[in-house]
Amino acid sequence: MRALGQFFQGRRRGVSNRKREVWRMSIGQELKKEFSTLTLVLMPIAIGINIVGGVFIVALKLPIYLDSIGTVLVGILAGPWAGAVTGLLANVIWGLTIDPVAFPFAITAFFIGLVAGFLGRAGMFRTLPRALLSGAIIGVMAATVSTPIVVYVFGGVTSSGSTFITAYLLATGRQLIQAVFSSSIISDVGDKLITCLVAYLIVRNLPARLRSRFAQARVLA
Amino acid sequence: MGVAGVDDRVPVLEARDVRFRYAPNLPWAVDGVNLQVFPGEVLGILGENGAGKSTLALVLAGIIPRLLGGEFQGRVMVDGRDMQEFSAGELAGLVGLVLQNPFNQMTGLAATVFDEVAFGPQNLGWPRQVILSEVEAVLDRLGIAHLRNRNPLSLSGGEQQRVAIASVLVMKPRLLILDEPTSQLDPAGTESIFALIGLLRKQGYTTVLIEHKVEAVAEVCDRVLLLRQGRVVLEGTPAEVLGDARVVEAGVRRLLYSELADTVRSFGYAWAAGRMTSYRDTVAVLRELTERG
Amino acid sequence: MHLLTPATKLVGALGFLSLIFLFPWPWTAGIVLAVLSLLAAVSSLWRKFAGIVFRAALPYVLMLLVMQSLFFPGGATPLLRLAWFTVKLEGVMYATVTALRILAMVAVFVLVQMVTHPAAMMADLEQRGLSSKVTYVVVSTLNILPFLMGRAGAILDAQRSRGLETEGSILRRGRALLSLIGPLVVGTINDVQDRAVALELRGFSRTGTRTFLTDTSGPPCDRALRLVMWGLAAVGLLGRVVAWVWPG
Repeated sequence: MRALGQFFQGRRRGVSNRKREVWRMSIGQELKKEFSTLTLVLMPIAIGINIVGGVFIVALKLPIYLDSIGTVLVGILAGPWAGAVTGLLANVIWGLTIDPVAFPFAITAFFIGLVAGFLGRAGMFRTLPRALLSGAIIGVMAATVSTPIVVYVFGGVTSSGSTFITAYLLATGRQLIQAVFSSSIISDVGDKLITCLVAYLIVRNLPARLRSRFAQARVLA
Repeated sequence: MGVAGVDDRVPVLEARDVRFRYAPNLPWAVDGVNLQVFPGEVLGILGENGAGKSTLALVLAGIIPRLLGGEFQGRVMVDGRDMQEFSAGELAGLVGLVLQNPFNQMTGLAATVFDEVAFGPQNLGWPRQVILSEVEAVLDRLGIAHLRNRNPLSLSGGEQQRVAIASVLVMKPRLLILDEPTSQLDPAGTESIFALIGLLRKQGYTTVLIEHKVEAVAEVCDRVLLLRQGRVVLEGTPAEVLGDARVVEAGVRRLLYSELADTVRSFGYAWAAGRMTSYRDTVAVLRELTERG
Repeated sequence: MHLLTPATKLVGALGFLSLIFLFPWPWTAGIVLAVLSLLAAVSSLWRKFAGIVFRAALPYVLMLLVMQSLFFPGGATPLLRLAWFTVKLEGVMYATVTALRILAMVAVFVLVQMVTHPAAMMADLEQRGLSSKVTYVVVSTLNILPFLMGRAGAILDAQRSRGLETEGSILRRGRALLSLIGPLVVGTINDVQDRAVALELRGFSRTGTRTFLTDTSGPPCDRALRLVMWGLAAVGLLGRVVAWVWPG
């Protein structure tokens, strides 16, 4: 595959040729750096935090999930693709151990990690207001990606209270997709706002020595 | 095992003018270290917290600068060959390093101690039969064969640490570095580890032991270095180094009998003080003193 | 069932899922569910299987039936009237079909999970080319989960004994959450460098062949069965394509 690509590259002329090679090389290198052993060691811990954080939520009887906190953290600290893979695997593992219903939502988790990573790279977790904005962005995105899943796989129902809102909206005559999207927005944005707030506070309070180890976190130092 | 003077053996590991810092705005963690480790010896490294011992361990094991970034100067050589010339594959298993926290050295991948120890050789691509026999052998040699089917994550700290040592030794490294291997263990665990180190020494392994516990170092090491602020400030046999008053400045406690010797000398018994170079001798001398009245 | 290779089971899952969701005939899911239940019964797993499947899917099924029966938009065939709600046939149909689909999907996941050991599955996938990095993350997570749970419990106890308020206003409980999550994250992140070093020392990031100790070949029918499963997946896909090209 790569030989083919280089063959076609050789065909083109001029500076753009070399630029493209450098660009391709640096993406490969970047990915490699993003998935360094350090990141790989962080991921199980992050996935564990996703799952275990729920214990605290239940103990405190808070009305949120907070099941993406680890995913967002990996996105911020290690980069978008690491965050995306973390989210994906987190849902796979959640499906294997706790609730098989989580499998289809691995796509949503993938995007949560991805977007969190890009937002982190753009410095959107440097200040509190920016972090909250990131939470809103991720929340809307999560609702957008999960709505088709909820509609086509689950027929519009979820295991949370947002289904009641969906039902109400249906009763007032809306289409299923609209109803699900509207109710998802409310619950997802709220949850992701809090998730990003917690993530911001955690990253902020990490000792500098730890922060500097991670590929992307140096930006936040 | 003499100290000063010429040693014409080829060192297994040699560090020349090594300097390292984690970031340009931080002080040099290792600031011009020269050291050599000779085959079959047990080298002790003493120093207070922050003297750079753990960083030096990572440097000697080749982890710095390869895995963690930072500014690195100087050369580290194994059997005369610069570490930076080794490929990542060749470097794996070349130098063994055992860290403080036993739990963190369990990969979390293995369901049994056997699999845990086999992890390294598996990565190195050894043939299956060789792996099976080598793992058995090292489990026997370290006295943990009875743990082979246990889950590594459920073992005690001392047991985990022995598994960690086994996991490293099975790859047949040129030398073994132990970075405060007992600092997180209870007394029973500590004792088992030091017994193990004594055993390894008898079997001819080359070892570097970084420790706080001066008595243990005195017991098991052939040579000792004192590290202070990233530099080697004293070098010699355990008795020489730990008897030297300068260790106190470097934040290291002197041996009990050395302190006692000073007291005895100050009472005018210089002849007795001079003979107090080990616990056994100290007891003998004290007995003589009390008999003489 | 247990003897088949994990890869075959995964392809089987893919095949069944494809049938459930892609194949245009709505009652496919019912058939799949029946087949899977049969498999479970034959392997004497029926009780546990049924228990987990129903427990996982029940909330959805119930909500579905209620919601779609009563609130289904559009649809013209009323079945009965309850107060100001109209139960429409289309709604009930839709609810039943979707409920069957959910049940079947959950059944697929549960059955595969019940007959496959995750570590064995990862080892098999790795031998077929899955990156060892992925298998590390999955297996390692599964193994340290109990330990992390323990640590979380310990933090909860420790903070409670320091007077942490777990009741009260939402704001107070929110702040409590921070003082719980904080130690958990920092404690575990501290370990990250150590663990990475330990892995590196054991040659984790070495490229090149790895030796595998376990043998994951299945019985002779395994290969054939896997092809059949691929076939099922293809059938599902083709069915959807056909329906898309020739509607009605």
